[in-house]
Parts: sequence; C-alpha cells; structure tokens
Amino acid sequence: MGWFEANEALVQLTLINMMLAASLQVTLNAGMLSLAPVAAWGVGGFIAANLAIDTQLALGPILLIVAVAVAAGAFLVALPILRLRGLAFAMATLAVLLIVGSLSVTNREWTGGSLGLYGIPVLTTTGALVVGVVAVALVLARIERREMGRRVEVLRLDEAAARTLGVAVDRIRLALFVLAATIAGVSGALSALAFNNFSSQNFGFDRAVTTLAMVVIGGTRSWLGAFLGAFLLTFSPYWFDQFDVWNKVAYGAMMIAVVGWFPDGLLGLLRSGIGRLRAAIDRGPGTGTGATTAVAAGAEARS
Amino acid sequence: MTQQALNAVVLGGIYTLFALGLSLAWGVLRILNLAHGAIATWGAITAWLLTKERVLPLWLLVVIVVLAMGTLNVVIDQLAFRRLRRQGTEQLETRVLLASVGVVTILLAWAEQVTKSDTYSLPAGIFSSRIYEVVGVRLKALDIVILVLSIGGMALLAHWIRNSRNGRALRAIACDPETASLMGINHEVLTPVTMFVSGGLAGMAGLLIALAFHVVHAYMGDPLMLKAIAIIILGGIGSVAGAVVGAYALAFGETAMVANDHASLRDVVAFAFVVLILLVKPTGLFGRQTVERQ
Repeated sequence: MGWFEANEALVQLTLINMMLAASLQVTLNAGMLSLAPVAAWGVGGFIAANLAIDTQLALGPILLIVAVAVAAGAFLVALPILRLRGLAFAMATLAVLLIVGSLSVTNREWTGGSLGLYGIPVLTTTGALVVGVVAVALVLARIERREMGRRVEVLRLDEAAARTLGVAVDRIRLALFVLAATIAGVSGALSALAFNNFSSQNFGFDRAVTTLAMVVIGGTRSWLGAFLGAFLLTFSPYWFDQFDVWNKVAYGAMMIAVVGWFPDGLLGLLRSGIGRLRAAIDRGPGTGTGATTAVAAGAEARS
Repeated sequence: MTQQALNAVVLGGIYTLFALGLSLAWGVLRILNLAHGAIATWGAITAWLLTKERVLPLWLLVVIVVLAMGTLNVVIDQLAFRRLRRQGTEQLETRVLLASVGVVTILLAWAEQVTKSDTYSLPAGIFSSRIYEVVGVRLKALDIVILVLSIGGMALLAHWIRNSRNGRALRAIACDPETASLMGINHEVLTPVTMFVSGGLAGMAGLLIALAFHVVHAYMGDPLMLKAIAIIILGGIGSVAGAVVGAYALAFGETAMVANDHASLRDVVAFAFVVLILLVKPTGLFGRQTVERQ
C-alpha cells in the first residue's frame, strides 16, 4: 500500500481544514474576528448528512443546497450582528457558535444528539476535495487582488477612513461575512460526506480555537497563509509521531510568537525570506546599487 | 424552592469571583484574557496536587492558590501581552485575544499532561462537612465558606477600586490611558498589580468550584469562561456592580431552568440573551457610554 492510500483520511482532513481556515481568514483580513464560520461548518455538515441519508441526491446538488441554505442563514444572522464592532462583534459570533452547538446537541432526530450521525453515505473523493480547495483559492485570490483587495485593506486599517474614501463598508462586510459562512458550510458538508460520521463535537469552541491558530500562524493577510497554517497544523501530529502535549504547546508558543513578533505569520516570513534571497541574487558580486534592488525586490515580494 | 434559591446564591458567588477578575483586566487594561478559565483550572489543579499526600487547611490552600495564580497571570502578561501593548493600539484588543488563545493552548496541554485527562476530587478532610439547618434550609459548611469568600472578595475589590489610590489610578486608566499616563500614572506598575488580582480571583474561583462540585479536571475552566463572558457582556465591561448582577442573574436563571427540566436549553438561553443585550445596549446594563470617533 502506498503512502497516499495509508494516509488518505489525513489528506482529506487537511483539505477540509484548509477551506475552513480560509473562511476565518476572509473576515479576519477585513478586521472582523468572526467565529461564525465554524457554526456554519456544523450546519452545513448536518444538512449534507441528512440529505445524503434521506435522499438519493448526488454530491453536486447537495453542495448547492448547503451553500444556498448556509448563505441565507448567514445573511439573516449578519443583519443584526454586523452592527457590532471589535470585541463585541467577536463575542457575538462566539455566542452564535455556542447557540448552534447547544441546539445541535438538543435536536436529536436531526443531529443524533451528542453522539452525532453515523453511516452517512460517502459521496466525496479526494479529487472532489481538491477541486473545492482550488475553487476557494480562485475566489479568494480574485478578492485579494486589485481594487477589492485595497478596499478590504483600508477597511481593516480604519473603517472611518474607508467610508470617507467611498468604500461601501457595510456592503463589503456583509458580503465577506456571507462568503465566509458559505465556504465553511460547503467545507462542513464535504467533511460529513467524506468521513461517514458527523457530530456536534466536531465544531465546538475547541475547533474554533484550533482553526484560529491555523490562520494566525500561517498568516492572516492572505488565503495562502490560511492554507499553509491548516496544512502545517493538521499534518504536524503525523510528523511528530502523535506526541500530543508537545504539539499543542508548540502551537500555543507559535501563536504567541506570531502575534507579537511576526504579525504576517509564516507566510510573511517566507515571503520576506524569498524577497531577500532574490535581492541577493540580483545584486550579484560587487555592484553598488544593491540596496535599491533589495528594496524593490522586497516590495515586489510583499505585494 | 428555598433550597434551590440557596444553591443559586452559592453558584452566583463563584461566578462573581471568576467574572470580576476577567472584567477587571478587560475593563482596565483592555485585555480579554481567554486564559482566565485555564487559570481557574490550574487553581484547582494546584490545590489537588498540594493535597494529594497531605491534608492542608482550607485557608492555607486559598492563600497559596491565590498567590500562585496571581503570579502565573503576571508572568503570562509579561511574556505574551506586554509586547503587544508596546506596539501601539491598532487592533490591540483582537491581537491580545489571539495571543491569549495561544496561552490557553499551552496551559490546557499542560493540565492534560498533569491530570492525564482524568477527573479527581479534593480530599474531604480539608474542610468541615457539618450541615446546619437554618429555617428549613440545609446549609453545608462549604456553602458558608463560599459565600463568605465570594462576598468578602467582592467587597474588598469594590473598596479597593473605589477608595484606594491605586483603585483611582485604575479607573483613570480605564477612562483614558493616555491622559492617565500624562498625569503620572505608571502602567508598568499597575498592569502587573491588576493582572495579579485578576489571576488570584480566577484561582480562588477554580478552587471553590473544585470544592463545591467535587471535580478537578483539565477542562473545568471552559464552561466557566463562556459563562463569564456572558456575565460581563450582560453587566457591562469593567463594572463591579454589573458583574455581580450579571453573575446572580445567570446563576438564578440556570438554576430555574434546571429545576424546571430544561437543563439542555440552559446555555442556549444564556447566549441568546447575550446577543440580545449586545444588540440593544452594547455597553451592558451597567456599562459606561463611550464616545467613538466618527
């Protein structure tokens, strides 16, 4: 048996975590610390699980239904919650996550209670997950580039300034909030359809914290950072031989270090490293204009 | 009925101690320390480790736990948060929150390691197990201890904030950190003091929970943390009166829900209430109105 067959579940989990991490990054990059996508992840998973068990629908229609339902739900939740800012906003999204978690334990027929649902038909393949991840990357890359990226950046730095510059602040916040929930909902649906079971244990406060760690460690400025963090944190137990305690201590320490010392995360470190390397190559031996090329290459790598 | 009310009063006392510590750091220093729950857990674990082989009197345990957890909180602040404060105020609250998530991860992993993810309880010998009958209500000696400690703690904290020189300085920082430091208030001294008091309160709450519910385990602080956030949002950030009212409201609400067979919906109601309060009056029932730059 090859490496891939032996570790397919781990690869699938990584792909699912990449999507979930990207959904937290989308809002965090606009200055909104939102845990609501984790709730959407759970709702999406339960909708998909029930559809797969009760109907003969194929993967495509199920994902479509999940996306529409979760987006509509996120829209309704967003209307009141987006009035809040900063920590109050973060706490309200935490409350949403906890309410959804509690309700999913209480509604036994629909969610299987605290045990969760088992025997969900496996409708996803690793290939489908890869397609999902690529689609997410394409959408987010489109948002990060050009005018939209600049708008989001101004919004993160100073909302009042963004308004005076004519940025449609409310519309962008709403759109990003709903987009994040939709991505997370689809990711949850894929998870339910990949692993044959789904329970409310899968999207508690714990999961929110781990996913947040992925985004922060990888880098909050870009979807690529979220992907990088999700990849590293999902795979690290495999590399470090399941040595659980030290793994967690390492995440914690990395998180503190990144927030305090490297605010752009590992992705930022990588990029500045590549920038310096390129500058060193461009400079060549003994030229006088090294400093300017270094700055130019650095700026290019950062943009 | 009276018995239920008494249980709610005792529970409210513990919630208050825990929430006050969180509220103090949040209101004065703008530190929403998610590690507060893990510090309560460690307060309980410290007591458990100390009493594993010998029986210590309760007062000594309280003193040790408060000092140890206060110190731990100061160390956490110096290692993880101090640098963030120095980097300026842009998104400070969110960045401190994220760093505290890192702290939680470490403290919990360590707690799992020490307790091997098992549940323990503190030995019965450290406090009197006498039961008093007062007007038809059964009052355990432990209930009295909890009430005395929580009400004493509240009174002491309120007195400290209201009447002492340091307390006045704290209120000044909470109002306007920049002007306060122009008036000669030294953050470098007051921040550790505040974090020490906050950590001590968390440790004491953890110890009392361990005594009242006979449990010591690695995750005991998590539900406490979520409740405290609800309490503070309900009462208003940084307000002692608000934390007390919020804690008792939650304790009575929970007890009533459990008494009426709605135990599973307990948390849903609490957090739905939080969302409602945030929407109607984001500063909480007792919070100050803040003026924001437009």
